[in-house]
Amino acid sequence: MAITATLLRAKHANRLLADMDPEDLARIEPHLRHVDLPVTTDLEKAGQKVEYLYFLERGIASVVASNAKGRQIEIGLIGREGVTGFPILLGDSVSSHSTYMQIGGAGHKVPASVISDALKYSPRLREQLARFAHTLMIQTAHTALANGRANILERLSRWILMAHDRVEGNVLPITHVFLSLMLGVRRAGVTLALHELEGRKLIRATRGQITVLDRAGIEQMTNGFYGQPELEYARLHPIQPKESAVVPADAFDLP
Amino acid sequence: MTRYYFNIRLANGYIEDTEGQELRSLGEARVEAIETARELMAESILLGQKIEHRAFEISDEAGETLDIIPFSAAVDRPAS
Repeated sequence: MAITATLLRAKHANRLLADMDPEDLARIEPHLRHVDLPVTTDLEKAGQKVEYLYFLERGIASVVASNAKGRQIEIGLIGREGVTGFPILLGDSVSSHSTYMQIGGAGHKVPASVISDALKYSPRLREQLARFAHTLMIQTAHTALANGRANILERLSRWILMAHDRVEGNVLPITHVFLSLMLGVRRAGVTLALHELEGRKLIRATRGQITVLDRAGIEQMTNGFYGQPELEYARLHPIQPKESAVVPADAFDLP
Repeated sequence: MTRYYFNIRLANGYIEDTEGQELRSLGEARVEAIETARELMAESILLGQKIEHRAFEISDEAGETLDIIPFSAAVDRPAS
């Protein structure tokens, strides 16, 4: 039984499922459904009940806040290190924000009721997922800091690193219009900032994708706006924190 | 909806817009250009950068230039 459980855990590319206690995982696993999640797939809609939680294996989900007039900005970014369904983890059932796939991928979806029930049974699971919710709140806090105090170039650099942490390889399939929605700036502002990074040979920007060429150089461009939430994530989750103040691209990889 | 491209002419270079943007009319494209210029100039001023001469060249899918909007127009021209 124990061996089977270990094998079950090892097969998960999602960090939370991989780290989950075998007993907790056994409760959830029968309800997991593997799904493809193409770009723009809605995972949650503002003001609506959370039907499913998504443990991502590939791709990136964006949590987006918007006002009544449709002005919006990204407040959270979730990849294979995490799960959607923040309200469920914190005792609510309705989402205040929209969440959708910003870089297509795949993952496991599970009915919200399964997770709420499992959280009631297992304080250990509640603790594990609360820890993740906490890291997401730290990330959101730093996004607020960046949105308020950083310039476009610093924010774009920060975003590129956060996305780079969550994808395989160095290519981010993302359009300028999407980036402009995420960063809350007009699209041509993104084009200009990308041009600046490209001029410094830190990235290559082609139609619909950004290739990371010099990660250390991009880290310098963030001017200290990247790295703190990533260190907190490393502290709160059982992975080895790296020595440098900035987390390398493979920080979220499985050991 | 038409796809408009917002190429940027700099004092010492040219940035081609490879993706473009769907908008209802050229009028709307002009408004977008002016509001973007405002955003970019505000950013430059905050950073203490020199505001060099820059302009948007709005073109269509065929590459035809439809209008040229100098960033300076954004200061003394209403957006709509």
